Amino acid sequence: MNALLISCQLLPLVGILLITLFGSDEHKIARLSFWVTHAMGLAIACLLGIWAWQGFPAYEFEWFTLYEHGNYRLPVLFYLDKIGATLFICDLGGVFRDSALLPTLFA
Amino acid sequence: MFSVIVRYCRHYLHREYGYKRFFITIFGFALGLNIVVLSGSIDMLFAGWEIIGVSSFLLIAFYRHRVQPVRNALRAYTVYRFCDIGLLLGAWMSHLLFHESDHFSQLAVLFKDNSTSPASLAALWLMSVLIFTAACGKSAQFPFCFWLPRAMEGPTPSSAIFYGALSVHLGVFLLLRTTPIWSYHLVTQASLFSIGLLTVVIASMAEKTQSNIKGQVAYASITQVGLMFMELALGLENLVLLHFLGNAFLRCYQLLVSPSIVAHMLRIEGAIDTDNSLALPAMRKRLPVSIRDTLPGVLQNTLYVFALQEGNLELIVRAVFWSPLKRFGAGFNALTTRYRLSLVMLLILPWPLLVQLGWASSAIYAIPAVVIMVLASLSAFSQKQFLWTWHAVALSSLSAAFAVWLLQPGVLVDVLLFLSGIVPSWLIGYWLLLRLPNPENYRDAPFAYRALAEIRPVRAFGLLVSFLGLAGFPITPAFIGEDLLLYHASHQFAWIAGLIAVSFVLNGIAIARVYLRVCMGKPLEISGIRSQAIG
Repeated sequence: MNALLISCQLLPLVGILLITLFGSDEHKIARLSFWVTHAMGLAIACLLGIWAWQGFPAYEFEWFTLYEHGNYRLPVLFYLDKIGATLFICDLGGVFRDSALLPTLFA
Repeated sequence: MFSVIVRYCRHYLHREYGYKRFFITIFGFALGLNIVVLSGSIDMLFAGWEIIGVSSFLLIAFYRHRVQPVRNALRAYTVYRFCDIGLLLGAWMSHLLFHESDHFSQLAVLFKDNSTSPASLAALWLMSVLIFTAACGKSAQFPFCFWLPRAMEGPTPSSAIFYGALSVHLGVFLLLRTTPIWSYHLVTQASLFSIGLLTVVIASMAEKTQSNIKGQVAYASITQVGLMFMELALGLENLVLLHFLGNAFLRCYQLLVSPSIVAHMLRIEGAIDTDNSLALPAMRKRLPVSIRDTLPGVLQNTLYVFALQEGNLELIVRAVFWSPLKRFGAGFNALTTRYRLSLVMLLILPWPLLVQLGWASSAIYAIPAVVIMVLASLSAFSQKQFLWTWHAVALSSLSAAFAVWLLQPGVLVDVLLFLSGIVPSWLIGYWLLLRLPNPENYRDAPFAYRALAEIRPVRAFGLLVSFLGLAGFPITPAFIGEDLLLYHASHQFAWIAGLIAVSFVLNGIAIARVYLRVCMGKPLEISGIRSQAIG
């Protein structure tokens, strides 16, 4: 679950990097965007699936401390509960609506 | 939803100038959104919030050759930035009030025992006001309803995902996350209900007079979010989540099909002499045309004008929040250098005297630095010249850092962390601004767009990065530094933290304007200025 939380953050960054480096024409940009958005959708679907499997808990994960000095501490902290999951479902809805993905997944 | 948007964009933006730029920005938005959704504390949420704000700003100004999208991008960014005061100070207050327990997971636990509050009622009330400000700005609620229809100037897919589906609901998301704080007292709940109700009344009327389909969808979305605010105030959290989902999908769909609907309506209009016409639904035939028709004529006209002017909210917000600051800054800028220096000295000198007389502690030495910070920010906010604005913003940030160091000399490391983001951004930006093509024309026409993004795209990108760094965007350590400055300033004088937050916000708006003026526009406009200068 922790790995999925991190991958949900990193995949858009990967998308930005790939398009910046390799997006020389429309076809490449469209292809890269297609795969990154679907990888993101898959990561979110797995995350929500595991979260549901564990009984919909309010899940917290501290990745690392970004900065600490004296009493001040800034951790990179993730939190998933039903509120966050609702917003994620909006993201996910499109993956299932996009009929082109299904033959690709089950090919 | 992202995959739907991406698929749609492949066709919608085919052969469009800026195809790559659009996809990079939309992934920037996805990054910001994922950070917000999965954030475990207000600090993390603020980082994502800022990324979403800048992505939105860049996408509204996507058609950078046209003046109106660029102006509307600045308008939306100004509201975003103003409402950031709420979240910036909210993050600071959460550190101050809840210490290590400012995680969202621990907030509910802190407030569980109703007999003992984790903070005083006044502190909770202030924090609620800050949260409401941030939520109202992001979700275009009263009195900030006006920016959302203007933000529809961007490409339709970005409007769909930002202002139809996801971004517009982030205010609701923030309120859901911070429910224990603002729901602690009945007055704050009633305030939230009132905000929602006022929004519903104004937005539902304004929607009827919108002349374009995207404006209508925008106001319809604002109305629904207003209803969500009311539901939240009544404690109907689960209903809000359901409402949220339904509205997100419906508005996204409506915006995506809006070009087809417009094309269809035009086709029907063109075929007016044929049998091809729109049939009214059977239900609608039985209803009166509008409730408005049952009202007296004078009231009808009054309501129509009120709806057409969108409640005059933009004028009111401008008159209350921006005009006084601009007037003060313009007055200061109008002074000659000698008078400016005299005024600064007059404001600075009394404070060391108070220390000498033993009436105040040495921490009061920070006040002159704060005075310089405020004056520099106000000057930048009302300034037309690029270089002056750039330096004034840098001076304001340096003064803020110096003030905090004077307040707490032991936090030099934190102050240096802040400066490590500010100083390089300032110097790189200054270097780029010095190398603008045809600088001799700039003094004559400070409001003309310079189209640097067209003429020198690499330099324009460098200026964007410098602007983001100087504004404390989460790409440099200045982002953490801002939070640290507020945290340390509040230990001695809490009001200084408030002034620092206001200065950061004004600085962000001032340099966003510089970025737009320098980088946006048509190259043709530049040649026009050049020929005028030669003539």
